[in-house]
Amino acid sequence: MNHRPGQFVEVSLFGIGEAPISIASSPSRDGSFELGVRMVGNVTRALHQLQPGDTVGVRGPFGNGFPLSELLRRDLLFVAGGIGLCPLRSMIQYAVDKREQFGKIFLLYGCREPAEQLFPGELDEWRQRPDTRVLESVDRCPLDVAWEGRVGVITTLFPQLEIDPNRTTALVVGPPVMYRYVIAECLKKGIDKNNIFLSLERRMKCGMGFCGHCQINNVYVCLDGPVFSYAQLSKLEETEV
Amino acid sequence: MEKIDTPIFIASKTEFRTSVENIIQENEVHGVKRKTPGFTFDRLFAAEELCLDYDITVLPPSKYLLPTPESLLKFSSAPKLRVRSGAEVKPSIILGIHPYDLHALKLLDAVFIGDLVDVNYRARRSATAIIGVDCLNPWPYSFAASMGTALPPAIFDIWLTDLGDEYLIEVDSGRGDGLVKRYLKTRSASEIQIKQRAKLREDSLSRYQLSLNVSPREITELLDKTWNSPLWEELGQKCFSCGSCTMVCPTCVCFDVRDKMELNRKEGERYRHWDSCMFEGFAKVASGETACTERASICSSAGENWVVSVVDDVCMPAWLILPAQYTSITVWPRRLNSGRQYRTSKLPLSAHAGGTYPSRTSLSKRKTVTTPIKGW
Repeated sequence: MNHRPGQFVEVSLFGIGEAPISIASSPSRDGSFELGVRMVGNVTRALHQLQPGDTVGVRGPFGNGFPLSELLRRDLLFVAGGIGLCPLRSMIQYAVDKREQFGKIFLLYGCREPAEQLFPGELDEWRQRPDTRVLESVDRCPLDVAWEGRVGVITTLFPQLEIDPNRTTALVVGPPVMYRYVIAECLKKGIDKNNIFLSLERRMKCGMGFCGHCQINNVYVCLDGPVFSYAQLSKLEETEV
Repeated sequence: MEKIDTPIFIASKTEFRTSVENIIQENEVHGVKRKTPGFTFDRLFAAEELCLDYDITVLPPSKYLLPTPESLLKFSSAPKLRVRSGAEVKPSIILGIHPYDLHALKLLDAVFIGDLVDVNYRARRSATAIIGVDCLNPWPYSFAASMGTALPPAIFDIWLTDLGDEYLIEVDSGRGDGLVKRYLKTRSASEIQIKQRAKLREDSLSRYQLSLNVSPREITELLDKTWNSPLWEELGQKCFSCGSCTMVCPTCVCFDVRDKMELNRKEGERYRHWDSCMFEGFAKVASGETACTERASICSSAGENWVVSVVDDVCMPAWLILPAQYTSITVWPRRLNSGRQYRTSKLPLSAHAGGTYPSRTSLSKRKTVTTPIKGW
């Protein structure tokens, strides 16, 4: 696809509609691309009913993606909430594939329940890497499920985290409610607001800055985002952070 | 569009009417018609339907360049998926556009034929000839003169000025030249007639009863600084989120995209239709979260988003008078002839350039809000 990690595509099912979906795989893995789709609306419900060999329409890639040049030689702190792991996975895979270009890698991953964890095989792989630290939490854990991670919201993982704030860039993707609290924790750890990047979910209809649905103040999320630094977002009145 | 040296012609009104009749016979012409109450752009079938001494139309002519609904692509799923895109565009003429609407069109051009191109818009734009006319008797609630939008930008094919018994005709493109040569019996305008146009335009500027004493650029800053003003709360309480202000605005472009299937479930169409940032679900994502929930927030963002993003270099969306009306600082009527200024806080302005006339009674009963804006 020749995309940048963090970009998105518009996926079409003709007769149903089109929806913006983050690309969940790294461009460093040639030959295919992957999308992680949660069933929440008409288009995604229909996507979940597709069979192998069915046809979909894809436009893109759109958006800016993660700022790769600013991330070189930096320690990377990935903070993923739920389905937010999908867009981050494109960057995690990229960093793992080009390991020498980046410093330490930390992944904080929070879900509602252990069964909701995505990409379990890949999580195992990341857990076992000596140069990668994975910390996990769930909001609640059924009694009959074995769980070695933390029970609590994702911010409860931050006290275990040992980072050098001057070398670290945080990449945060999750539900809007998570952002405010995670940003506060990142700032508490001493990470500069120019080094905290978030990806915003908006209703990108056209992906080309025409339809107006994803506009926040004077920026279009589909063109100027979906990845913004907290420094950029804090200047925009109309965001959740 | 091929530009030519702007020759200026004269045609009598009788000659002009005959020409319009001929143009209508051979072309798809959309012109201004009288529609009680007010005026509207509609397909012309006879020259006598055309009304060029109107003040304002209900909907702006941009409806022909951004029609609603508009087909984006057609598809058939059986026996194999086939998708066909592209607008079905027919050459047409818009006759009677006013300067402020042409300024709005310039803004649409900046949006849709900029770094990224909307192919449907570009196709319609290049297939549409623009014949405009000077607005010599402005709408009583217009403030176009103070916004610099009372005279036309040079993006027309033909421009008309009503000199009384004749039309002064300025041609500004090869297409306009072709139309004049084919349909109009003209003679070159004299120096005196050209001066007469200048005088008429100058007089028309003094006929605008209302003005905003801020420049478009200042309004950008004004909106930026007043994001947290309680005025938006007050406005939000009165707003029904009906979206009418954005539907009649010649500069609003927001659209939604939908699919529809034929009853055979094999063929369908993807189309776009006008949408509005004033609608409650406009920014709602599939998971149910929305960036804009409060009406006050919708009102303020609707104003701010559009202005800050594209207006800087082009012009001012007329409906932004809405926030201005609720400040105590900006809205003044001007009686230029007498040189005196009257405060108009008791005369709220209509919210847009394409609306209907508010009745005097309803205006006088309306509460005037004069909360000062902090820092302004």
